Amino acid sequence: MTHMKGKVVLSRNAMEEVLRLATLNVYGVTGLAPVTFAERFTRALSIPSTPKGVDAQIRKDGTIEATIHVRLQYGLRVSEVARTITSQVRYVFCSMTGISEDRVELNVVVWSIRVEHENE
Amino acid sequence: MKEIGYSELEALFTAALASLESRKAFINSLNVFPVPDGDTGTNMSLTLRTALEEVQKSHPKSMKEFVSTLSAGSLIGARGNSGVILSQIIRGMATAADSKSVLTTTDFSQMLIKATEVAYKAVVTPVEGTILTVVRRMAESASGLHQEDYTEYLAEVIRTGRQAVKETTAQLPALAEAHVVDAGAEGLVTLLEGMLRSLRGESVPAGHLTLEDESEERVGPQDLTYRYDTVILVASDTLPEDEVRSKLTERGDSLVMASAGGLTKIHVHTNEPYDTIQYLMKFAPIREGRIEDMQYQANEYAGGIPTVVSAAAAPPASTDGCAGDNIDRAYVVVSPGSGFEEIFRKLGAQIIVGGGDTMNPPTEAFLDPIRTCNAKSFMIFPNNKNIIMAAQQAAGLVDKNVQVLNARHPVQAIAALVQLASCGLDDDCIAVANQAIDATNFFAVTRATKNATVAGLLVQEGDYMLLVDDKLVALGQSVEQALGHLRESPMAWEDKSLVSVYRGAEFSETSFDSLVSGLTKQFPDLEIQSYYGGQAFYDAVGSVE
Repeated sequence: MTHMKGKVVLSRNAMEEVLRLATLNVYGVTGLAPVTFAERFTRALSIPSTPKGVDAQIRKDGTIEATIHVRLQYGLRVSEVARTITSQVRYVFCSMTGISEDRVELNVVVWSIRVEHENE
Repeated sequence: MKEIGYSELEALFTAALASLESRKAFINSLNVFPVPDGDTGTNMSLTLRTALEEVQKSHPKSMKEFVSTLSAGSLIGARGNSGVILSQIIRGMATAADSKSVLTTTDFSQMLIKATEVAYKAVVTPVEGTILTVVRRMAESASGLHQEDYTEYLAEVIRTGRQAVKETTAQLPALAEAHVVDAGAEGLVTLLEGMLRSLRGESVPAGHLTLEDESEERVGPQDLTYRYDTVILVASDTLPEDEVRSKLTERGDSLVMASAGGLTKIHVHTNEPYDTIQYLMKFAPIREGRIEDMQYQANEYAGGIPTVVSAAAAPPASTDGCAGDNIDRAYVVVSPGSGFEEIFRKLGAQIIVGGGDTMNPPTEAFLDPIRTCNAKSFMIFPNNKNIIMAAQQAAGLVDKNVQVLNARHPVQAIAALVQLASCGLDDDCIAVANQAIDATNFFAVTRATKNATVAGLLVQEGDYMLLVDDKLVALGQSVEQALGHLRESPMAWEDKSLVSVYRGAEFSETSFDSLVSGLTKQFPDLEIQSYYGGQAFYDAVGSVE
């Protein structure tokens, strides 16, 4: 292995996709929220689309900062769900990409809470 | 019993909590990496405990009041992922029981069905093999049951639940690899088993009650009617419960009583802990006790410092080296043992904070000594990846020049301190220290606490694991055998010249000597140095630089 040459490049897009999928597996997350202006615009016009939900940046020093925009289910303790998102997504992301955990900074923005009228 | 009212339901949930608490350690251990951590059991029992404490505070008078308080309490008490899911299950059960005054087994089935519905709503892609699967399977089986007697009914539901828990291993690859069942699922069934045991008049399995069960408690900012959180373990399981309850709630609240195996644990908030102790001693001798000032904790919390009170807290930091006023740089170093502490002192560390793998020092452990020490600047060596966060928090909370270095192991701090000794006032000492840290690989040998598969290696409980830079590299039947694989671990060997090894507190001197001579044979081209580290849990740790 050590004699192999070449390098592996992970694109921002690929990273965002991994983060997206990991986030959607967290208990309490009912969806992702639009990130860019264009996305919000599309949404405002009610054009069906899948919001990206994740904005990842690779900093000059090689560390990664990502902001995850989520929608949560009503009736959950938001702080605990947010904590779970940061730890669980970080774990999945780092084990899938091999990037070490201290090089990844995650922020969570709770965009909205999904309320449903329960027919009890 | 064919019908239960709200007070019986409260008794069932109290028994459920006792059951969860008695198996907390086991549930925590169902973690997929074989080093002790993981806290599903703790999170679930703390969630349920807060819920029941809320109930006791509000003295519900009806089913509706009871379930809505329980549901609200579990929401605010929800801790961790498993706690959040449990709060949803309780919320669902509460919704279904809301309009009833008594509950038949058919009503209980409805509660489980509603719990499943609510719990599933909060997840986009439910994964099979979790607590969700188990609550659903139990609800499905419950709705087909015709037993009217609660004992028979719950026994059936739990039978399905147990089977479903067993099957989680095969449903999730991570669980299959580690040969464990899902911790949250286990917790849920444990909870129901507590209810069944209480219906049968049995107590919680013996010998599990300890004060340590409550080692962590979060306290919110508030003015407290009752100031002292008092937990007493009495050496008897036959206390007159009603009498004790009414006596202790006269001048206290948040009472929780649980009996098991010759012991009763009493948890109460009161202003007169001494009276409580005196009163309880009339019945039986006190086995253990713990009293905590919640007002102090609440003030700390309100001050912006998240206080986690831990019964197994690290020893207080010593600031002996801080006496002089003219220190330019003070080194704050986390040390896992007496040997390391001595080495750090010799290398000029002013502040030593006790802590290591199973004992993470809280933020205050850094704050207090930094506040009292008069140095112009500080460098913190956290020496464990799990402590870096607490150190950074401390750095942000004081108005002093504090740098947190990226040292993830004590041996990296040693390498950095050696380099810093020759770092002048005008040099970029942070860069010097970080360079030394990055150039130092660290290793550790410890025993696996359970069976698991990690990085493709089949780990058996009791195996010795060689971890290099926190990653599992090899296994062996002895410390020596595991360490014999050090050469195979991936690092820039061509740049290395020195291997240092530190003896753990529980590792004998003779075994250590033969370990060192083994290393000399393994690395004829490198210098080998050995010291006493005094660290717990790891028989040997060391560095390659």
